[in-house]
Amino acid sequence: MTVTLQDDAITLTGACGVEEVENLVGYLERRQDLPVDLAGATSIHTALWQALMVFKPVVTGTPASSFTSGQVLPAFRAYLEESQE
Amino acid sequence: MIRLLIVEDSALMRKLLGQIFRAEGDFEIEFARDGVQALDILPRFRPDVVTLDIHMPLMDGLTCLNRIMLEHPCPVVMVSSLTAEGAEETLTALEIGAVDFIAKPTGAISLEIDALTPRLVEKVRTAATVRIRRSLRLAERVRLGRKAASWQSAIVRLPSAERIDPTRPAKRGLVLIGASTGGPPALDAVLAHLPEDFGWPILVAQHMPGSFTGALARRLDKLCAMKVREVTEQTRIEPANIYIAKGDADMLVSCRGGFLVAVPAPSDPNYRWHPSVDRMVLSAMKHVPPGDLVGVLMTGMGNDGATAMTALRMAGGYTIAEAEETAVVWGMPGELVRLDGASEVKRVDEIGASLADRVC
Amino acid sequence: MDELIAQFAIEARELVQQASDDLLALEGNPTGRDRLEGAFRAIHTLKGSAALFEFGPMLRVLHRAEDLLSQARAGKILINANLLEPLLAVIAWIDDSIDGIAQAGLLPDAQERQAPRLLGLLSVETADHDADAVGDARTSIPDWATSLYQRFASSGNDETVVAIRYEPHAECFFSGDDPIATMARLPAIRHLSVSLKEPAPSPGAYDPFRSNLLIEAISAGSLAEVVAVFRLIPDQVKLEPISGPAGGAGPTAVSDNTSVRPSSIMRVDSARIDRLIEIAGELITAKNRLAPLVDDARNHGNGPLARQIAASHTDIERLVASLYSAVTQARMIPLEHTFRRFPRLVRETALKLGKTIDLVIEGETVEADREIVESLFEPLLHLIRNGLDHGIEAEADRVQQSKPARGHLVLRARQRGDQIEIEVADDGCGMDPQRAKATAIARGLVSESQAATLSEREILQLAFAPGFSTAAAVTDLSGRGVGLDVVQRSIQSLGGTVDLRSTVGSGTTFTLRLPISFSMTRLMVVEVGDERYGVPIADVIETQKLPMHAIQPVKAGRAFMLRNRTIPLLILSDLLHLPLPDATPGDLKVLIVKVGPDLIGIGVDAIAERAETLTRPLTGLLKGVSGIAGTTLLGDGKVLLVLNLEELIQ
Repeated sequence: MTVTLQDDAITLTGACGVEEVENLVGYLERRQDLPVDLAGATSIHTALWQALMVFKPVVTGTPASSFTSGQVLPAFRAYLEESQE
Repeated sequence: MIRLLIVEDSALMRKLLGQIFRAEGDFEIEFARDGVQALDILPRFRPDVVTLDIHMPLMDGLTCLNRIMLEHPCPVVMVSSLTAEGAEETLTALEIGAVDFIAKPTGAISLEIDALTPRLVEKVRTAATVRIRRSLRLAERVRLGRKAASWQSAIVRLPSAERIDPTRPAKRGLVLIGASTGGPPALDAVLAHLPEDFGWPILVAQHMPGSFTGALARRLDKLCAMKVREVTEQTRIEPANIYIAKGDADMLVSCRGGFLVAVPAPSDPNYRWHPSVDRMVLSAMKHVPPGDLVGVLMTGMGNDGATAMTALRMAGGYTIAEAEETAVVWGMPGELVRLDGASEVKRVDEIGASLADRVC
Repeated sequence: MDELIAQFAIEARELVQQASDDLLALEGNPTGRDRLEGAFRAIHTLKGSAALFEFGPMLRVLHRAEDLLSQARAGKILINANLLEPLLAVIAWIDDSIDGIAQAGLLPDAQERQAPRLLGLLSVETADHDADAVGDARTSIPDWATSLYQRFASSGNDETVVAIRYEPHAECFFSGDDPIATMARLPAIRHLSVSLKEPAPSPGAYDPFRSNLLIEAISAGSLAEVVAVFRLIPDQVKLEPISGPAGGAGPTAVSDNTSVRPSSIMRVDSARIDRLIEIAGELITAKNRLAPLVDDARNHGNGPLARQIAASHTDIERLVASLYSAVTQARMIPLEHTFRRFPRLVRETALKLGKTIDLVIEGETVEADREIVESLFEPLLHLIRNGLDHGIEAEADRVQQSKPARGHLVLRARQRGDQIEIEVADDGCGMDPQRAKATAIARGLVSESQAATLSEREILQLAFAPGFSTAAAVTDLSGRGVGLDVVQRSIQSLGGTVDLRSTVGSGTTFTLRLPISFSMTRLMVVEVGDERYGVPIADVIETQKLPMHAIQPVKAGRAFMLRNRTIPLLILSDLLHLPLPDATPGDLKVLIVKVGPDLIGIGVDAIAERAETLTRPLTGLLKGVSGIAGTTLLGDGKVLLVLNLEELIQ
């Protein structure tokens, strides 16, 4: 299981493929109060990013991949800011 | 040795198929370049299995198949192109009596052929072991000969379920059907007998390429009293509807905004066959209490669906396996029986009634 | 592959002929139904054949041509010059392409350049469809690129860059696309933004498996590099090269004719591929290190961590396996590389021997790992020389036996599953089992009484024993002091087998069976004293724990009972000539292995972990050491010798 529901967060770990998006959406829908922790994710499929953009949860943790943490995460935060306005 | 007759007008395809099966080492192969030649060779060569191209000069594949079925019945695997037209013809061929079909290889030969070969060989090998039942075949042929109109009257109507009260929320029950080799005619036999107001929605995972499932759904829609549609996008699941999973992908049951939906999902490489019956059943079990699920596993090679339906039965769901005597290949239902996952084992012509009993 | 291309060319010429006959007949008589059907079928078959290869745009051209004909069949469009002219142009174009395809296996450049023109001719109705994509002479920059560039340039950059706008197809996840991962492959990425195309839908209507994204980026890489990243999805991407404002005013479009166009074959230095294999091998090693971590985590009571590690272990395992098989594929070359050296050698040798010989080579297109193909040269050369020298008789003798004067030597390869089978067959004098038996006895390879129990076939296999040579004199050809035993050993070191069949008077056939590539082996690590060795799990039928008192002395050796069967027991340290351990432990661990028809127990001190590794054949000094199959690198970085138990026991 790479997308798991913990007491205090929804966590993504390891390689999160497209088949995990159904789980992620299930958790996001049920637990809108929980942050999503990306710290343990080694790769995150586009479908999962899209789910995060739709549900806009608080996202914590910095994934190890420099592209993910240096480019995708800032782009994701920028999108959240823009769509708040 | 497996005696294989390859009927194919393209010399290139003959060569390619010949190469593939010769490499296996245990195939004795003969070739025919058209249907006329094939019918010449058949009585002498008496093949265990025939691969038959649909498009051929002189006598097209379907005519040839018809003659084979009448004159020298033996297992036939159609070689089809993955086009809309190909889908229609292939489904007709399966009704006339072809055991299975394989997609004509396309794309860069070097890249795809390695991926395709094992499956192609497996299908032909399996077909070679199939017994062609004369009686069943005849019944299908007679049925096909009838006009679509007389069809409806020929259906033995099962006791109808209570009229659905549109104001009352639908019961959250689901029928989940999985099928593979030999599936399309078997689906006709089960689904065409269900009444228009059958109480539960039905989800079907029939192993097939993506370009074929649309044609399958349209064809079933003509034959069935219930409404049949292919699930190409997220669709709310409603009673009196039959949902056919799109091929080359999986279909999941999920819950969105409090409603049950069927969602096409990219095929998960952890499962070998698609649309995956196992994955469909497992996803349904996450959103529907097992007591409200009925699983049906019908003819097909391999074991897709057996694990998940066994889990379903253990959790309190009801499962039906098609009986060996009517299954073209008793792989998937056989595995379900072996795993002790079948609540009951039924002939294909009894499954409809059994479903009506459970649901109505 | 070449054989198929050749077949394609033959068939295509016929079909082109048929299609043009039919089309020309339709020109005279547009109502000729047969002709229309014939033309359709020819184009349809051509399309099906073209689909098997990578002939660039040919498939699309034929697809449209077929489409038009099928509309004409359905009576949807008229059969007139407007339809027939373009179709005849297509046929002429295919005709022109066939020779080039037959030679190079690819659509010739000249024809490829004409494809857009033909596609244009074929789509009269949808003529303006492609106008946007084709408009190459554009100098102004589209708005999206300008605003994207401004956002990027505001951070103080003025490089020459490529602006990228990527709208993934709604169903792109189904084709296996991962658009953001695609972006990660861009060179020198300077800016990335991601947004939803349509405003976020209500949670009830949101379909997580459909893409609703717009991705924009700026890359400072070259246009060609960026184009390469989107090679497979050109229709979903817009690219705009922009030069920095160095020249003064705002950004300007850079003119560049690079279009997104796939190239199918790339020559790569084999050393680079080997490096990749090495890395893949190391990855396997690194992956194997995860397995003990699972146990560690579990032993420390951290179940969730153990499961997470186990999950990533599985993921990595799958990825490494596919990486490995992909790189292995890249190492495959046709046997032709080795086979093509033989015709000249055979001619020269035959000349020297005063024999006339026809060499027939078949199946040279069969592919195998480069190392296997290259290592086959020596053993094959030896077998071929053997056939020329000892097999095929002098011309006079042949005529006397009413055989054709010219000797016949066949070198034939074919693929059987994941093996290649190579036959070296001559139509010479064959091997005389009686003579072979006498030689074997004379050389002390078998005793007379042993020889009496052997079948003819078994006697022939003695030819592979070291020190055997049936030829009365060692000639300078097949001589060189090398016997068939060396051939057998070198084939075995590649993981293969050699078989020999022979009929007196009509010839000898050697059959070599080899793996297509080196594969990963599952190993069981066993301990003997302080040493550790690998044993292929495939060789081990089961393992048993044996108390010392269960071992019975039998004649010179030892044995034990297993399920009412007496099994001889050998001790691995004896087999390896290792010093006996100081103290004998209480229980002996025994691997039950099958050697020929017999079960044999092999005692070891301990059985350690299992591992999946890449076993490399021995090279250098160790080459030819009997009983050792190869070496492999373990998770802890130590080199492990992998045993060949069968060889070791004999």
